[in-house]
Amino acid sequence: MNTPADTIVAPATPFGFGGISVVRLSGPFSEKIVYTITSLPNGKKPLFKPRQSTHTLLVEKNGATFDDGLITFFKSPSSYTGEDSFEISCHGNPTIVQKIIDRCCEEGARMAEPGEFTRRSFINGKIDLLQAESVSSLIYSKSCEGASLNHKILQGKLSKKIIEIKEKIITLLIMVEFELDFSEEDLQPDLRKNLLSKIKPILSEIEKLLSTRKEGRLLTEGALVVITGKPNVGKSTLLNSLTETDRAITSPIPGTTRDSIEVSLLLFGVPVRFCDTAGIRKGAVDVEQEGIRRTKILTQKADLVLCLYEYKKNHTNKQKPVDLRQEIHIINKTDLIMPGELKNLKKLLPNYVFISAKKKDGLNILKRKIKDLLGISSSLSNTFSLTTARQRIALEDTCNCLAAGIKLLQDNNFSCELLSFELCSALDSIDSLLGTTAPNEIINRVFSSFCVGK
Amino acid sequence: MKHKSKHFDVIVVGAGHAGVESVHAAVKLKQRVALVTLDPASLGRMSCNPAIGGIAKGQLVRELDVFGGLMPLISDVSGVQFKLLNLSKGRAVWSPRAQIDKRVYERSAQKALLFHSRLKIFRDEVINVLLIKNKISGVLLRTGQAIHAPTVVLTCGTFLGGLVHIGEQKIQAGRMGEHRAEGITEALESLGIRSGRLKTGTPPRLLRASINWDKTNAVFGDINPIPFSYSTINFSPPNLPCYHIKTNPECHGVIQKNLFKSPMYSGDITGVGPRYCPSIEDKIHRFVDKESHLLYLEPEWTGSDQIYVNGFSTSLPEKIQLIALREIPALKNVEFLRPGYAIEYSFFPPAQLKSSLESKHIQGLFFAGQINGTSGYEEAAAQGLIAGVNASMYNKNQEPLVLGRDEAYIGVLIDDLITKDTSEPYRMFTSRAEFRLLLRYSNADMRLLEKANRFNLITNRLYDTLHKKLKLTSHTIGGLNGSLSQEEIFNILPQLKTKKPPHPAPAKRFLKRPEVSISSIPKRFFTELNNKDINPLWVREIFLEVETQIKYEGYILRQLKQVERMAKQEHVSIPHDIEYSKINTLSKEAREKLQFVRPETLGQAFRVSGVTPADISVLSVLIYK
Repeated sequence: MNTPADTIVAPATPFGFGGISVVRLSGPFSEKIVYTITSLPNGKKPLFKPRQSTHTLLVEKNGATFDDGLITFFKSPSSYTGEDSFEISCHGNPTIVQKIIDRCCEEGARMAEPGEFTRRSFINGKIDLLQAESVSSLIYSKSCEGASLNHKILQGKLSKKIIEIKEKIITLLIMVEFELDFSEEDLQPDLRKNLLSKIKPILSEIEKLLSTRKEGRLLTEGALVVITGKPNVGKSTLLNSLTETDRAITSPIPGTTRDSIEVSLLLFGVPVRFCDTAGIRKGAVDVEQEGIRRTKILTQKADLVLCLYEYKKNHTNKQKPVDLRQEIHIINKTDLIMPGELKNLKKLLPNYVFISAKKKDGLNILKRKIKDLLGISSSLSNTFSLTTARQRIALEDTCNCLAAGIKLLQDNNFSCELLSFELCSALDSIDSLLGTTAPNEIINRVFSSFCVGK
Repeated sequence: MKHKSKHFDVIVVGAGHAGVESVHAAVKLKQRVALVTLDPASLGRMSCNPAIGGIAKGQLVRELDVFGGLMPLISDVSGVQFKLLNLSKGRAVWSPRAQIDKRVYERSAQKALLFHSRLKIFRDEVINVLLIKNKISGVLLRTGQAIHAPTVVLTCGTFLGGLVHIGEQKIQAGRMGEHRAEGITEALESLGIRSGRLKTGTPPRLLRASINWDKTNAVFGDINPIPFSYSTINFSPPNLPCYHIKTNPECHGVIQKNLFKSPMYSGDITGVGPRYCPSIEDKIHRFVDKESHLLYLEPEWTGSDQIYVNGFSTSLPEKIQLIALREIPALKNVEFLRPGYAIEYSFFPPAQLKSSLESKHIQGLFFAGQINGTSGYEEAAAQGLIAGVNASMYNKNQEPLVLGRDEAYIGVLIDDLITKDTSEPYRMFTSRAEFRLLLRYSNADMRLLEKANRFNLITNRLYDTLHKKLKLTSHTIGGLNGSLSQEEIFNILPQLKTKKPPHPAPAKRFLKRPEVSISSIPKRFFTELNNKDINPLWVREIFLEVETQIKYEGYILRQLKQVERMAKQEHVSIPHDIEYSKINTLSKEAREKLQFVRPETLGQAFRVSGVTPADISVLSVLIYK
């Protein structure tokens, strides 16, 4: 690690060709460095004003121009890192980006380490640990709603909620410590009830927060929906119809799909990865068998499994019990069933969805059902959710401690000092989220998960 | 008092509880000690309440005992009522306390020290310190003579610039009727040591015969008392009662009406008083809704005429105190022997000390007790012992005795003192110890025995017997891995009979159940405890510890994990020459606090008030660079 006294530089946009690219520079010498690598078309040196963009030429050491760009100055402490910072927008060419970085380094800057901009922001007290973490999530977000969610964490909404919970636990702890250190009288009988009535709502509040973790993850990472079924039941056709693409090759020959194919789309604002799999059948050849093995692994990882069936006149669909929380059972090829028969069938199998992937019948019903089962609610984007595993683990620890506290309180002769221990441990876990007591390793782990630049 | 020379190894200034333990520890470590006190007859005096121990304080006294302190021994001799507090709140916070006969206490302390061959007493006052460069070399006395030593322990209590307040009356005194010390505060300030003002109070003393005892409730101590000291063998103390009375709205009315006459409210007192030990006027003013406060009438010695009113600390004018108390039926005709008063005094913020209690500014100068902003006999004694030991270690050029927060309440006490702001007199609480479950009064020997032995603070004989006791405890715990027969299980848990018969299983597993106590485990597991060599007073404690260590096993393991986590930054030392004011990335508050405290380790820095985790990240980045 380096001291935050030097100046760092890094590209802020992904490597590649595009309209524009942005390079970011931060540290005490950034202003000096920018002066030396820029020049106005009339040969004079530009004047940078805080929070204003200036159009300048970018120049080599010998004064030759290599590009022109728009430079925005953020003066300390009103910048992301809290230090003097510049954002240099240039033409979107990797060679130019590299040139700017080289020039900055020639003049005394150094390449930033992964996450270093954010680490400086944290060290300078601009953001707390939770916010730092959601910067990473914001960058990696796969959807607009996910981005908006992380934006909310960034603004400290989650921190605020957790601080609220922390305050409530502290209030309880104060009551307990009073008994332990100040009261010489025996425990008041109503204290136990009083504590119980206060600790339970805190627990359910955290549990509620924990349940948002799934939503948060869906929004940033996307949901995995796997389509399974016997060979030639129409899985690939369904994938193509749902995603309105021709990604999967379809044919009347069973076993056409031998490896899984993944297509992403936004479903009601949430990224969903649909995955077509190799059909499972006995006596398949080697390549196909490998496909079948992969299918099995995928279904275990899936947030939702679409089980596709085909109706055949002479045998009834006697399936294993249906787990309606994680599976949708679908009868495909309704176009091949007589209308009267279909009506009877729908009565007989009320939990099934009937579609014709080929004719695109019933697809909207299916989509809505997928949305319901994934728990994508319309109010989702108005709340905040947990997005990382670390947040979940810390809150689960808090939950466990509070639950242990409740268990202690249910005994008539409960030990006050053990209850205090559980409450203190709960606080420790919460503190590790807010960064008030986060040990160094956690901080470092958070920062190392950032891409260069931010 | 053999030597005539004015050269010593250690000079102790003050003969209160800190001074007494300092002297006692230093002479034990073969040091030649000079004790400077204004009045040798008041050596070991208990100037406030007639009790030793209590919640968190009882644990301190037990720890002192393992280090050979004097307080636990003489408390056992002078106690008139012993009680284990917090019994209904969990075994890790059980705390012993004793009501004390103050006169016996004082006499016992004096008997133990006054005629010690390595101690010389100067009835005098220190007015300045003598230095060679920034090393201490001795003290200058009011009578004009100088005495010399490479170490000085200052334990001046409330005597530094002491100012007694009773209503509008102000009296310069160290304790009521005793001279205050002057000059030394200014002398130290001129050396760059910062000072501050604090205040504390004491309640009136009542004439026994003027109290209507029929209108009070007598409260006794435990029937089977336990002593503080492991060295106490034959223990059958008296069990004298204390008496409860309650204040009433009439009494509150008198105080409410005269609040403006209290120097606390008129602004005459600038020192900060302790929030946990409020004056009666504070209690009534701040908790208007409470109709009644509990007061305890405590005899100060056996057959004493003087009764201490615990809970009625005040600095109101004497007349108002009397009128208010006379509203209480039991005190209708009460007479005072002495009114309550508040006392303001100077102290030196202890953040200026190292964890050895040596000054960071002046080598060889140690501070202990109330002068460090603490309150309480036990807190003073604990620091006194550590300062006395470390002055001796300094002379011997050996590592100081420093206790961890996970080892002892004494460790918590000193670490808090040197890292936290002292905005009010510091008192020990169990909640200050984050590893509270490990710091039980009943395992003080287990925690500290080896350290006490390493520093030669415990006699070989006591070390050996305590060592045996600890071995016996762990043996007994091991033995409980043995299985209970089906019949034995039914005896312990008859309700199991109705269900399917249980398999024989380790006794330990049953003892972990909340409803099973160690007394219901078959006797055959404890035959070793019938050994005649063991102090019978200890057997109960062994039972208790065995039970605790088994029942709390899961919790103890969790605490040990926390200790491990803390240890990582605890031992990262910070370079002495670090210039905090130049680290711009630290918050402004952290820069100022760290510059003042100058913590020795990253662990200490973490506990400095006002320092945030972000500051610690910055610091650790700088240190690891």
